[in-house]
Amino acid sequence: MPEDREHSDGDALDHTLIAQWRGGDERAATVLVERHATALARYVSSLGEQDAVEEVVQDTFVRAFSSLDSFRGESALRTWLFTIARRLVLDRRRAARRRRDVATLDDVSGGAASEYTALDSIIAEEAEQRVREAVERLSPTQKEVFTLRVSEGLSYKEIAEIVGTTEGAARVHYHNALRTVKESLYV
Amino acid sequence: MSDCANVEIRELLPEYLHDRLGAPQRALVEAHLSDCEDCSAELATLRAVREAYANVRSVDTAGIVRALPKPPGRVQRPVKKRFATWQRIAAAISFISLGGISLAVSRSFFSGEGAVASPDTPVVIAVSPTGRDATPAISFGGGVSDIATEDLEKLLGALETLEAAPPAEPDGVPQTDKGRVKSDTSGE
Repeated sequence: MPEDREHSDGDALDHTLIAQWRGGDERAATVLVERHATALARYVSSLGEQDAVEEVVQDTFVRAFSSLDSFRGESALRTWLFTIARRLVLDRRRAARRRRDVATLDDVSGGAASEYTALDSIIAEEAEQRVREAVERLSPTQKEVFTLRVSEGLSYKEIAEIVGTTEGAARVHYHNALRTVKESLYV
Repeated sequence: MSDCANVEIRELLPEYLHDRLGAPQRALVEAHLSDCEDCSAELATLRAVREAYANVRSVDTAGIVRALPKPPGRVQRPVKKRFATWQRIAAAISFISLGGISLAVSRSFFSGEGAVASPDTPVVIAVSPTGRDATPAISFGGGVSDIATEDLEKLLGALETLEAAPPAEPDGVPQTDKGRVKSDTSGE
């Protein structure tokens, strides 16, 4: 089953690198950042924070390394990083809402569609544009679960941990999202 | 496009896409894909979604690393104490001064011209006897400051004698036709 898949190699390497960093090896931090920065950026971007991807990714790593002692290794490091990134994005949105200069959570997702529309002008292939548009039509939760599953290959357990839901709910969100995307693309 | 009834295989497709299946499960999925158009199409959709979101702005990983806190077990290497600017300047001036003094002393030593006298410089005055009024040489092992008043008067007197005395060697040395030196101070 998917949850039984072997992430052990990557996880073991992460744990080794964390141990090396704790022992004073600063190069281990570089390797860890290089291993996870792109996936984090992709995830943050999928949450509709295109303009703050770099900032959120950096803050995620700073927070993670500042509280690495609290990381018990029960989950994958990437899952933990995604959880921190998600919390940072939500904090940014709350702060933005308080300032009343940006839209609500759903509106941000709506805004992301226009951002992606702008990006689409760069992307040459029409098929890719259609795929993006299909994904952007999903609800925020569906989109988050779907991209974590498809773009990052995370298990339902990991997704549930990041999003703060159950494995069963994550599975339902994924299949609903997949059906919606298929309908958008092929109907 | 319809959904395949084999839910177990469909659940494995994202892992298959990311090449995270063990060999047995991978073989199982590939065997199914070879016969199932629905699952092949679903896999193509998943691949298209993945590729559509693969292009993200590149992240400055070096900048992120610089912003990270230092590791707790970091060994604090003692910082090599560097010389301050004023210390460097002082060292340079001393070096140049010593070099200049050494050069001056060595030049005066080899040319025989007036040496620089300091209070601690040993004083040696040798007066070449001319035969007429040879003055005994005055020598002091100590410095100028060690000279007693009596000795100083003696020294000054000797200097006056030196000024009055003719040079031991004439300025112009006339040459004979045979190349011999003709001396006019020999008393011949």
